[in-house]
Amino acid sequence: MSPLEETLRQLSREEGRALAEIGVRPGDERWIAEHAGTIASLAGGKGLGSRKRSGFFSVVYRLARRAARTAR
Amino acid sequence: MTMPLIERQRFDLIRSALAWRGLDLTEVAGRPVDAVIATRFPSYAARHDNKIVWLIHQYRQAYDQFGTPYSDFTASREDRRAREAIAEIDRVGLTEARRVFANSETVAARLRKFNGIASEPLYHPPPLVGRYRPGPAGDYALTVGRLDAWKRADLPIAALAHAPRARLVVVGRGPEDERLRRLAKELKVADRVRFVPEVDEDGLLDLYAGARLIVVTPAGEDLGYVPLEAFLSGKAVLTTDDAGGPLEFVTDGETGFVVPPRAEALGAALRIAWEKPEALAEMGEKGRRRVSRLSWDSTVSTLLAAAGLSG
Repeated sequence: MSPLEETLRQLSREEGRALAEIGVRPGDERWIAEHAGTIASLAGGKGLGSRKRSGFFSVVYRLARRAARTAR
Repeated sequence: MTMPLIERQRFDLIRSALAWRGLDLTEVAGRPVDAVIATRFPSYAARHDNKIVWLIHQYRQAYDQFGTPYSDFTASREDRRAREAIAEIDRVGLTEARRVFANSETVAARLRKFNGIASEPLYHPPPLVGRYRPGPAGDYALTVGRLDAWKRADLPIAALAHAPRARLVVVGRGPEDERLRRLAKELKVADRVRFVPEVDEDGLLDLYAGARLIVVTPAGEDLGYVPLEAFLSGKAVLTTDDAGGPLEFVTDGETGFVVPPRAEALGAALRIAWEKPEALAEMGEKGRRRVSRLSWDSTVSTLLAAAGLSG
């Protein structure tokens, strides 16, 4: 895993916890997707193709959703 | 510090709260942060061990304005969830604070009613404190504020139709601008209304000093600078019995007039102001005495003491 990927995974875990703290629930799928899109966009720079970015979105979405479920 | 509150879609509100929540405010530029004093939604979502909240206002569209023309929240699932999330942001951000103040009893009462959270009213003076001055009463009533629907500047304009001698100056701009100008024409009072979209500080002070009385007609204002500015300028205030914060300072028959939010009632008060102006100066003076104790020194000292930073 590249440093960028590791950073994004850590960020999505932390932000997922914060999302849960301020009231976002696993059922709020659209909001979580929005959030995952924001974080995944950080991987949009040089060195990552669109397939990789799309894969990132899925990973971040899963992590954020899991954090929203488990943080409370 | 400030961050923009973006409101293009519901999630933007959550995103803004998240941005505040994610800040590390333990130190800035190598210097420890002794305390955080948060004031508005969603800045109080920020974390700090010594957080004080001085609540200026919540996101009112999700609370008291919900179900009124002043809120665009609907009964949709997403809007219901957004309102729940806003309440949760408020609960988390406010209950973890060391102490919660509100800028008026009206804001404190709202927080108690909708969130079950206690707070202490802590008033503050208006922006140009120290520069307001009394002056001879002129021939116009003055209303000041952003021209939003909930500020109801249409009420004093419509009141002119019931007070043939009264004139009105409307200071401010906003989405209601065109509608208000149209209303003045429709009611055939346009020749007695002067719209002032922009005015500098000295110009505003002059307008206050030269007014006959000040008209304040919002629906459920949090605090409202205008009555305070009016009193510091020695002017009586005409307001409505649903105005919210202004009613904490304006007493009917003592420092001004409090009437139902109807054009006829406001018009009747304007007629009195034009036919019997003698009482207005005394009302304005009583108002000035009532608010002259407000000072930034006192407000800031209270906040710092709450954060354990006094002396």
